[in-house]
Amino acid sequence: MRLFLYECKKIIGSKINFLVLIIFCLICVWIYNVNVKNDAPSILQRDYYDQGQKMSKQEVMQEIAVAKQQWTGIMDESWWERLQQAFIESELRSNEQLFDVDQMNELYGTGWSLDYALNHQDYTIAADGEVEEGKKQLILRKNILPSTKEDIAKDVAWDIYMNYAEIILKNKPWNSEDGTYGTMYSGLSGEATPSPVYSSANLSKAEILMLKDKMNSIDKFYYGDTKNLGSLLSTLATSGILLMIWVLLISTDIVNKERKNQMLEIQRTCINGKSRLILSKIGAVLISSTIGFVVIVGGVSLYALLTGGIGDASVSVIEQIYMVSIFNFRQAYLIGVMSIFLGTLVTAMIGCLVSTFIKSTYRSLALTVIIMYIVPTLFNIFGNIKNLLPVNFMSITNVSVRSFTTMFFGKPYYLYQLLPILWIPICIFIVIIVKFKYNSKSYPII
Amino acid sequence: MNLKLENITKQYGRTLAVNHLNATLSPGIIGLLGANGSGKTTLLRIIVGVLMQDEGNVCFGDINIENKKEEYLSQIGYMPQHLGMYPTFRVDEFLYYMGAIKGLTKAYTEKRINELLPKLHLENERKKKVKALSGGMRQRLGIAQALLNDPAFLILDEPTAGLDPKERNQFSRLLSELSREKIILLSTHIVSDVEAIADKIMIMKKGSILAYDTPQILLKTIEGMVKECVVSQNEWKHWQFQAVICSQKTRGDGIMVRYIDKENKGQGEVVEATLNDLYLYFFEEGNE
Repeated sequence: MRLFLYECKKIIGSKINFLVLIIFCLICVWIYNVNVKNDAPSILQRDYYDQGQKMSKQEVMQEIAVAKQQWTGIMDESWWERLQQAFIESELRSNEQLFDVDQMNELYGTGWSLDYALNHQDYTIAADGEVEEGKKQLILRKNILPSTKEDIAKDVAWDIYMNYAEIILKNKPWNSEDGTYGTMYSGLSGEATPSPVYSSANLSKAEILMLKDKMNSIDKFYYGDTKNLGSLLSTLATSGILLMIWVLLISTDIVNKERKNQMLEIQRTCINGKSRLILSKIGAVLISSTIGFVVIVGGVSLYALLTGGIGDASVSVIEQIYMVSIFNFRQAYLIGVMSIFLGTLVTAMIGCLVSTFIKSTYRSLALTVIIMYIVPTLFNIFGNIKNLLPVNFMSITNVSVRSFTTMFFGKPYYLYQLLPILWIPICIFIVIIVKFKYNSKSYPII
Repeated sequence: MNLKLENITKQYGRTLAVNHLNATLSPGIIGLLGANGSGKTTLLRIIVGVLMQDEGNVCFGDINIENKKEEYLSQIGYMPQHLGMYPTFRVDEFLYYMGAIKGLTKAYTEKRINELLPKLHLENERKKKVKALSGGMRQRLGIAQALLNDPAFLILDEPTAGLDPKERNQFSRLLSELSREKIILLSTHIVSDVEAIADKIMIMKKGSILAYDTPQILLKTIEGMVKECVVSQNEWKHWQFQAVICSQKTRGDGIMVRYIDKENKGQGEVVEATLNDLYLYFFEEGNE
């Protein structure tokens, strides 16, 4: 135990290791803030007025949060009907703001606004005074009416309907007409003809069917205010890569640093200088990696929590438009965190392995980086199997549905279920190899 | 207990580093003398078990060390030629760490640290970081870690490298103070390090033992061969290439030369031989 604690001290006590860890943690917090800014709801881009005064972003945010509250809950039939009604009301209000109501009433009667709300395709804005044949003309106001504080709730309802509920409850893109899960991406990519599988999704038929079944097995979806959970998940993807770099820094020199310090020779003349020492070193690297994981992942999560970024985690994840995940935010976060943690330990073990075989610290680091980054590229030829490698699965928390599955020996699997089954035995095997090599009589001491 | 080296052989590629070496090491201080590259460090590494010999056995008492490795390791203290240690560790922390690797209890390690630090004049440095220590202090810390487990067999490889004359003197006294029950094998190429304290001298050359006995007996090898005479500057030019010169000193009337007259035909007065003369006799200064 004492040996293990001293080995931990060697790693954690290093000012450079500590400094790099803190810098990486700060970078993650910074990336989170950038993501929050980029992921801000489109409503926030508009100007709202309260009693003639322009509302601040903070005030608008508060109103948005209040408006979202009334939609929190199970997305059942009554919820859906209520939302459709609110959507129509929002459309009517929007028509009033944009179009010359008097002239429109004169042309098409008072029912035009509801008709337009339900049938957008029958109306057009006249270009150069010419109206497209068979379509009704929309006449814009000379001065668009400003949005008021009361409009925020209507806009929120519109946003939930268009960007969330319609996709999940109405469109169900995973059941689209071509029978593939991938079609949901087609609208995004602007492809003229929806491709059977989105070009970069790279999903096999078996994976698509598995995802479809999973989506159809969810009978009740849930809505709530997720706040900045999406930004947090995106940030974790970057955190995984930074954490991997830090773990490589601390693990790739655990043995050859002893050689550099000229301690290897003396250690091997001591009773505990072989098996116990190398196992203590491996244990120390794993514990230090866990500390790094807690500092970086925990740090950015805590920051999100303290700055009010953690919202309702029971909501199904939707990334941009049409990309519905089989997971809700809670599941996505836990899977992401588990993947990063597992990847951290795997990276640490690979670092230890290389450090035992390569004498030079720099070569050791370079070789590990090659193993971690080049090998996955080579694995591209094996399709999604590359996702089983840490450099790939540690960045899956960008929530893209496609990354959560993989084909393994011809069968589809959820990646998060396969990772521990695959990597825990590999890590145990690495420990055996490292111990065997370090204990060998011919192990080079200089 | 004795340590027996039986037919030890080690080869690096085509170079024979240790050549069928046999010796028995008994309690007392044994000075292992040899030029750089003579195989001293290789032999020490084989003795402490960090290097495997190609042939032969190392026996502690009657037991082959390979059969009772843990027991053997608990009996040895080793200070290698180069010891970097951990710059960010404090002196006492480093010794606690070494105690843990040596399998000593924390209480025993603490007791030994309290005994050794004053003895090695490191008491004031107890809380200093290793990186703040001078070269001499680091050497003494290296010796402290070797003595931590109160070993029966102490192996020191070039322990005086980097020490100033005062520190060397202190180090020699320390070794003398250590129990005579221990086998202390001290490798060096500096004769004065062992001259006053060694009970036995082992001289190694090209992987073999040239001589191994008490200094008194070894000195008999060159008895009557060491001479001193005064030569002129012109004569000196010839001398330095023809004889094994032990020392020379410029004086008003010429150069006082101390040399080894192997054939006892040269000029000068026979003087008492020293270990330095013996070393040069074996290694023929200038040719090695």
